[in-house]
Amino acid sequence: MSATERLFLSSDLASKRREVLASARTGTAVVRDIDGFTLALVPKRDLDLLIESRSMLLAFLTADGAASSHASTASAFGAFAWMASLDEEDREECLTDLREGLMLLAAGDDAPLHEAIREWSATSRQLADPTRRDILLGTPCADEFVSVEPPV
Amino acid sequence: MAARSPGGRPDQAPIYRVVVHRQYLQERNRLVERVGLENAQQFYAHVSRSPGSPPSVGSSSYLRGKAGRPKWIGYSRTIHYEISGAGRIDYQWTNEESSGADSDLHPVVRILTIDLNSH
Repeated sequence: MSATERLFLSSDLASKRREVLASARTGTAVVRDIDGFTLALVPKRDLDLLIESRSMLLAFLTADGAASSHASTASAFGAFAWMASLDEEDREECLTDLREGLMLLAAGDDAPLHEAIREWSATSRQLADPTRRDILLGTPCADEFVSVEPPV
Repeated sequence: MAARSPGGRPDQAPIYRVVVHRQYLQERNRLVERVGLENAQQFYAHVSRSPGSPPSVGSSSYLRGKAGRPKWIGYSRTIHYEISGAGRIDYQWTNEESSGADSDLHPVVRILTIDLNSH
């Protein structure tokens, strides 16, 4: 996200329209109205990133708080309700991954956080079923597997 | 007991031997019925030829945490393959598994779980 900022007056929206837009495209164009109220024009991707960062941070803090208090109900984990299916060790690892993803999101890269959420929620969904959980968390013996014949 | 290959003969001979956990043999045999012949064939073509690559059809990712760790020496992490809206399959693969007295190493895909329920 860009840190450059330039101040304009509301009358500049007409007289310096191109300068205002150029400033907004490369950073932030701050426009002060005649009553002192200020508005900021920023690239939409920066605004989307800010909105998502806030939403994800709130979701993370809710889940982190639930994990710290050893909550077991899905609702206690808020937007990350799927985390309730994880045991404490996995929850800690999940929270570490989400924390790292949030740091990268703040730096403008949303891919690691989205991947962590997608993979951890899939993991949690798989572990919610007792049979799948036993196999995925255990080490099945070779004789527990059945060979698939080559196509005939 | 060996499971039937869904859809009959594939275009290419498999490289990886595919084995299914006994607990999911029934689901494996219902795969065509649940996800369709084409999806089932594409899944088997993928795991028997290039189980570690992103699939050309469907999507795959890794499971995380303890469920995602290799279960046997030389095996991959657990891959979670979304075969369609109605099928998810978890598997691990290796290029070098030895079979008992036979010292030859061969590539194997172990299907751990099959989930044919809709989300």
